Amino acid sequence: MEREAIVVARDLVKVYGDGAEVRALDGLTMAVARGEFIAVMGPSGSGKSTLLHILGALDRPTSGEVWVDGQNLARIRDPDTFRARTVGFVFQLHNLIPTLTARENVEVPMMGQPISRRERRRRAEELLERVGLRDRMNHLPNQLSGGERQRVAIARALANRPALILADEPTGNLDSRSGAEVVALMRELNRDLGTTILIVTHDPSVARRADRILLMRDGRIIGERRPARGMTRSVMDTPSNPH
Amino acid sequence: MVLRNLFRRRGRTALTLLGIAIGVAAIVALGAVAGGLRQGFASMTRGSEADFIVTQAGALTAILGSIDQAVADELQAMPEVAAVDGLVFANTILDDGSYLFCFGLDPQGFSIRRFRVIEGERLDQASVRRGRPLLLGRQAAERLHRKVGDLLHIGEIPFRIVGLYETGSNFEDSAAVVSLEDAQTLTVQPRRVTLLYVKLRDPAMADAFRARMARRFPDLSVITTVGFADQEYMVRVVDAMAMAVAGLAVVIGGVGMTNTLFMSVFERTTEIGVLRALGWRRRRVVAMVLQESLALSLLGGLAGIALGVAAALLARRAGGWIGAWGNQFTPEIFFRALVTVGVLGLVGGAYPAWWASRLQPVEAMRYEGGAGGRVSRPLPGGMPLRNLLRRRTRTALTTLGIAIGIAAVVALGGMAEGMYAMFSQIWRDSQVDLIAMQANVDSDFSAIDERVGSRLAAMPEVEAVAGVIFAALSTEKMPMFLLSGYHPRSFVMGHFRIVEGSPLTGPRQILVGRRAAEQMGLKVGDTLRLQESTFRVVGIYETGVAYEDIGAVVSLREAQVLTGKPRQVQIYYIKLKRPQEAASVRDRMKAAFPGVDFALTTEAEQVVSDLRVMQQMVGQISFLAVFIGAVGMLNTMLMSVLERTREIGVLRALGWRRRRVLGMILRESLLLGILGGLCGTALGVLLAAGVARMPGIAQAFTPLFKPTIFLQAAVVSLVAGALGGLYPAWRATRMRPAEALRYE
Repeated sequence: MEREAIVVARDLVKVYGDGAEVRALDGLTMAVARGEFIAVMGPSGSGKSTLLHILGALDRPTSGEVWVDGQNLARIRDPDTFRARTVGFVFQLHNLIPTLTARENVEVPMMGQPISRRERRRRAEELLERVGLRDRMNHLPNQLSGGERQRVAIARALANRPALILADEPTGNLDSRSGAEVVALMRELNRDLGTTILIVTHDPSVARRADRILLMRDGRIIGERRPARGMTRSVMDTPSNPH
Repeated sequence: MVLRNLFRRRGRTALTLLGIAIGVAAIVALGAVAGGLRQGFASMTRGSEADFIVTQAGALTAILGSIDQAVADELQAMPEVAAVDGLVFANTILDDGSYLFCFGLDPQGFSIRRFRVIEGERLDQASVRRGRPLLLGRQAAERLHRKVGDLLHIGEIPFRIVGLYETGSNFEDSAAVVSLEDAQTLTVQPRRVTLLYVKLRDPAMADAFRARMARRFPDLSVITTVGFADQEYMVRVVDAMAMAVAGLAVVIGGVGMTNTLFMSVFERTTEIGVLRALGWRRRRVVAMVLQESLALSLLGGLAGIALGVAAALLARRAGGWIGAWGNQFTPEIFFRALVTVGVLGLVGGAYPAWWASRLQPVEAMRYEGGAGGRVSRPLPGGMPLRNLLRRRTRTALTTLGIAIGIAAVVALGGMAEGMYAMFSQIWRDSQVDLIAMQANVDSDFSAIDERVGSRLAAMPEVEAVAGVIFAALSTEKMPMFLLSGYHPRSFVMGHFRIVEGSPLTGPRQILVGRRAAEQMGLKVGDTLRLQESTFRVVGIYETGVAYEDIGAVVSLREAQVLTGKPRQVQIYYIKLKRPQEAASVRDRMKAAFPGVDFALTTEAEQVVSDLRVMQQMVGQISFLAVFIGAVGMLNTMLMSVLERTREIGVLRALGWRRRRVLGMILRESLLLGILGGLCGTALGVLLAAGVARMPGIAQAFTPLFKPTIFLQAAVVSLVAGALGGLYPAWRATRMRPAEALRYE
């Protein structure tokens, strides 16, 4: 089925450093349709994180074009508002603010947006309930398990109802059971809310849950795979399967 | 390895070095000032070849003493005495407003010999064409840009520089020497000297001489020249001041130090885990961290010594009080600075070293870096407060640093205000409109001829004139006893409310303040011995002014005799017929009496130098407090921003604007400033109250805390907060989110 594209990137190049140049992205071209669940895989240093940072307007490409939800990110005026409203980030472990409770962490992206304090609070509680952490709402990150922390991070990413969620190795530091639970939650949100999800991962068992897998190497997309349906099922049924 | 670790974070190391350097510089520079003064007094006594110094027993400081010159003649006649020399000490102010200390000595005496003339002629050889002969110290000549043959006006009197001298003491070399008579003209105290140098025929006669002196002159003290400088009140005061400021600076430096090391150890957690896994013992880790901290403090100490020496040398040229004192570096100062640095290094490094050694290798290696401070239970308050509570020790230390500065501002301000309020109450109660003092001298040395008073009283605008003499004496029961001399029928006497006995009516009578009477156990009818005279207590009064209630009042005539100022007064209080015209009358009086300075009671600090010095001190300490507080704040906030780099990256990734991040950091530093301000204000009030209870000079007044002082403290702490927070906040906003997320 042909759907509207939410991400379009053409000939993306990103060069780091002045002296010894590092071409993190080297003519990358890709497209993601609205509502898709995409996994990006590739070896270390293949440019996965750079791609994610550019799609999230954390960084600008050296050249090339990139459109996310109709906005040209190479020439965006207000990347802050874009980050707050259009995308949601989920990073590896240890990216919650340690002084804030789970609920307050979910409220962070809504601070500075025209949302009343009461609405902010209500929404944070609703999101935490949705990720199954209603009873852990007033806990600090330190008092939560790794899997719980990532679920808080997912709730936080959803705070401003973004069109796209960008996740950078969200299961990187989790045991396989918690990792599978986190991915299952993301899959569920993708299905129920229609939020497009782009996940960068090393883990084939995570990638297998995606609609499409983009393979990266040396700053380019070198291939694409669609995991077999049956395969996806089997992983869902046996979440403790290692590797 | 140690230096390489420090060089990893150059900015942070530099900031820490700055903090330590400022502290050490304060120790060195202020130590040099105290050292110069101590050395000067030592040189004044020991270098003089005298065996004993004879001073006025009651004087608070020997240089304010006053002895009749006739005593010298009598001492000369004693069988034990070989020679006697008088010294007059005059604190003069030159045309350009700078201070110059003048020693008045007998040009033929033995004690002038230590002023070795290096250029020009000696005082007794000089054939002076115009102006009176004067020897100028080498450093004073440099500071004032004068050479042999130049004229120098002190007050109204022209002096001709006949020679330059050097004694090796910076205090003396920053001063001038004139003949005894000329110095007496300068201090307007003919036939009075500050102290006497006594040379014995044989040192074995010391006991006999002491015994004879105790019988003949019980009101004079005989001091050996060896211990003199250490007992000198001024030396002790400056010493204490130097210690206090240095202590403050060291606390701030220490905070920065602990901060830096802790941060540095913290972000190397994984690395330390690896070292431990490779077989390093705890002891070795501790040694590594301590070495780093010692290297850091030593570097800062060296920079601070350089800075302090530069500041002291600069002060020598700049003049003013500090310049006139001629600071001096002694090995002891540098030793003190290095010991401080060593202690700072050990103490500042101890906690981080202990923390590092406690790390379990496996856990440390698994450590993920990033956010600082372990938070294990919900903290109260908003984000700024919680961030401060994350690093409780650091927050407490920074708060302490700011608090000490603010406490100084509040305490000194309260004391200055109390002193001012005390005088203005006297003036208000007696309806004084104008105050007259000798121009260009320190208020302790002010002397106005009574003929000026008569002429003032004859002016048509003037309702009444009252001459006043203040003298600080000490008695056995009271270390500081403030004696005022007024004419018994002067209009100012009205504010002494007699609660017992009667007012002054005749000679040898004294009125005693209620608190002084209680403290000394005096009743009406008792006698009181002050210096060479005996007084009968005729009445006890109360004024509500602290320094009057712990003092006493005698007639102006008696006070003139006691202070050696016959037919002179220190201050004139002037009451006008039409007080609203005070300003124009003041200008007319200034024009008519060039040697006298007049001021409205509302601008008294312009003529009363004690008030002026106090005000300047409050101003300078406030500035120092803001500066040091801001440096401490800068350090702490910068560390805080650095250790939260990743966290700030996350906030930016979640759509927080720069402005919002800036606001968060600024709110933290302002909160820290307010916290320090509140603690400091409380500390300052306690401090001032404590000082006011101490016997001696401070008992003379009660501190007064006006709202303006608290306003000043609030402004100072907020400015320190804003200044210290601005750069770190700006740094936080400049971080590129993608890079911040990659940090560590």
